[in-house]
Amino acid sequence: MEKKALSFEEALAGLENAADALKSDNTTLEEALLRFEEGMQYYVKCKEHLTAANEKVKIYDKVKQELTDY
Amino acid sequence: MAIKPISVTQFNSYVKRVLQSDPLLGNVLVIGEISNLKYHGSGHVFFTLKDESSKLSCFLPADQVRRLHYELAEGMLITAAGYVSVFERGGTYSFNVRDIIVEGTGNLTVAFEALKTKLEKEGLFDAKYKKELPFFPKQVAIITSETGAAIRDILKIIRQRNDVVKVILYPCLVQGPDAAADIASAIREVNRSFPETDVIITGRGGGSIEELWAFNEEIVVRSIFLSEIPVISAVGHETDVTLADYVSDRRAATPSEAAQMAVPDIEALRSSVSTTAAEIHAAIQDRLRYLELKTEQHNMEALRTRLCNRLTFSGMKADGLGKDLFHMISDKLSRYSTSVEILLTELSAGSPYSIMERGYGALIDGSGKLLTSATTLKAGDSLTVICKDGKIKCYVEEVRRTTYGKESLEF
Repeated sequence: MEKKALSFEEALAGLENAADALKSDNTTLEEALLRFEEGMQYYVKCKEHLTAANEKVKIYDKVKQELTDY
Repeated sequence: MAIKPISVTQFNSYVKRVLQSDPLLGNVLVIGEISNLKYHGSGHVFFTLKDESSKLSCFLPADQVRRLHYELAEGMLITAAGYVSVFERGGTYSFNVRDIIVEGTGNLTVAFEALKTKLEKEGLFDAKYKKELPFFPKQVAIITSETGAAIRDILKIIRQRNDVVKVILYPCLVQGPDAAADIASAIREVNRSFPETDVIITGRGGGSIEELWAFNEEIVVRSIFLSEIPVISAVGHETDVTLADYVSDRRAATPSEAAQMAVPDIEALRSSVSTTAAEIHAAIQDRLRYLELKTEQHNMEALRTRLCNRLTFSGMKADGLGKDLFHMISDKLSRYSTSVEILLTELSAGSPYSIMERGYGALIDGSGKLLTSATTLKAGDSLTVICKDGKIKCYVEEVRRTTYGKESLEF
């Protein structure tokens, strides 16, 4: 959870798990609050991935052997 | 003029010189159908080109085999470029092939099927080698012509769906004799220089089978097979199927479809993630509200009120019972007193005084003892008669005893 390099897939899975756990009535209040906190953290991670907004198209220049803007 | 006889060696040597110095025979294109195709262990290929009335032995050196664009097959009509070569020791000549051109859909289909069968046998198309496409790629590499229709279509779809993914365009030739080698090297280069790439799309827009041919060449198929990064092939239209499609991890019918496969719709994901977060919020709110209610049910104020109510109720109940008890006891008492009255009456009825009312008197002797028999008295004894309203002192004059109804005088 503290891992920085949490992939979107992992964060999404974490969020969904938390949601499922919260929807079930078998959890204690303490656990529910914990899962909620956790879920919200996963949500933030998901949002980070989703709003990175770094869509860039680069083209590889074979002569210079580097990427330049397309 | 008689010519001096020459040796066989000299003859063959001369023929060789003449044939090999001929400008036409040094660079010629020959059309014919392949037969007797033999792959030698050394990598060289031998075959015969034939037409309706003649045959030509052909030799294709291993070096050229590797550069060939087509898999050769029996019965395939080809155009071979090459030169004549004389084998002095055998006194034979053959056609030394430099390059082979295959034309016409029929012949290309034969080449396609031949290579497909070969690579299939090797297992290059096996499902077990297919890699999963990542669900959420951060970087996509596109290997195609930078000026073609494919790159326009792919970028259009990616921009519509996803503003997070990074796109690298690795330009390459997609048709012509150098295309296959260029595509293969691009795939290797992307793997080497951009290993963080999550998925590769390689392909081109629609065209004739000749124009798409690079994607049917062994060198391209093998480079896709060896790619560590998952590859989506996107060659031509839905109906164009190439060997690149067979070997790639996913086949897209068109470049646009490849773009859809490669990147997820980010807006849909955003809304789905927001929905899930909202669900979590709602769930925890519900839970807290429920627990609040439950707590409310158990709060002390409510408990006190309930206790008071219960006390009041119990008090009322006790009062009721007390009253009942009182009634019951009064009842019982009044019933007892009635009984006592009755008993008293009965008692009064048996009292000597009530007999005296009716005219009787009681006799007591001098010591106060009640006299019940005449025998205890004799004349001259004193006795007292107790009447209802007083006492009478008397003396006995005579005693008459009654025995069985007969009186007798006693003295």
